[in-house]
Amino acid sequence: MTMRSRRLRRLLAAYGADPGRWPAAEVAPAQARLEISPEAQARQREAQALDARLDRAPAPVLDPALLERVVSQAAGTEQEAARRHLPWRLVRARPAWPQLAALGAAAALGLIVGWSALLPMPAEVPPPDVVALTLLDGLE
Amino acid sequence: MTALTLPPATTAVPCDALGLAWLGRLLPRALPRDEVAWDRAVSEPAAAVAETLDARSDERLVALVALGQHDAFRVLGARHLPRVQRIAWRMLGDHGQAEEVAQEALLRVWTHASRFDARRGARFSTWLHRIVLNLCHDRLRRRRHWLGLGAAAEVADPAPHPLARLAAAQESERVGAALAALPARQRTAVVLAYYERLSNAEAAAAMGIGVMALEALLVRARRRLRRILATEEEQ
Repeated sequence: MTMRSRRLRRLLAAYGADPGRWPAAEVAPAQARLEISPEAQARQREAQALDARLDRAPAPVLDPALLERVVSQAAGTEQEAARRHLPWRLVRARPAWPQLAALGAAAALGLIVGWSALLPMPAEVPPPDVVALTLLDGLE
Repeated sequence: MTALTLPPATTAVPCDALGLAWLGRLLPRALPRDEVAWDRAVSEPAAAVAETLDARSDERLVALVALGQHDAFRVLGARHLPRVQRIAWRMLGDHGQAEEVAQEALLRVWTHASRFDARRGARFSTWLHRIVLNLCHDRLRRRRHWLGLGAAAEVADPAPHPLARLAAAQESERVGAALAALPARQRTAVVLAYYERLSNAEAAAAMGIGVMALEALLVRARRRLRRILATEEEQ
């Protein structure tokens, strides 16, 4: 598969002269195009000159002790891990509170209904007119 | 080599173990993360448990970090901290601030590891680089100027002769100043793709843009750098 010179120019302009920085899938076709194109070779030399200058940029000084500091700081936030424990997470579970409230209400209702079924039924009271007739019968 | 130690049983008690599976279903937002991490961490064959942490992928280590595993966090930090420090330093140009950003980024990994979900095909490094870049851009927005690559910097290739060394230091300073003159997004693209040699897909993902947009930023950045450096040479 051959690469258009325009694409190769774009690669050199974006990623520089080093094929190690080019997109992996385009390295082989780009190098094939480079071999046959003096114009592309000239552009690669230009890109190389800029790369050489960029490589002279200051390099950061890394502090090897930083990792230990970060790890001990993380250990200091152990309470964060404690929050992962079940009870705390239940408290934090704000989105679930409505469901829990509904569950509680349903349980309470069930208890009330069940409890009332266990209570002794009141003795049957005859209607007042029957009571009156019985009394009248007694008087007679 | 760090040996794997399983987390204490109290770190994340799966609801099923307590006979509270119904509660787990009832509280879907409260309980899933650590259980997912737990499943990922322990669903390997027994032989794999003996595997060292060093050999584990970033994504497996993050699952262990979500369970509060310090050893996994240390391995992950050792793997990524140097790059995180370099990116922050090249973005901010200040050693102290770069260290603060690197520290903050890793602590966010520690506290928010359970938010990372590798099952969606996400890469840990992309997630971490985004955290670092966001922290850097926040600081850049606040101060609105770049401090320049100053005292903490080392000249890339110090020459032995004092005069040559001075010339190298001046050249280094010029290149640092040219990088500092780039707009933040162009500088980010150069830092990730050129200096850190991330693939174009990784760099684009870390910046939250497409590959073509990344290439456009790189082309503009290199054109600008060439112009700045050429102008300085003329002067």
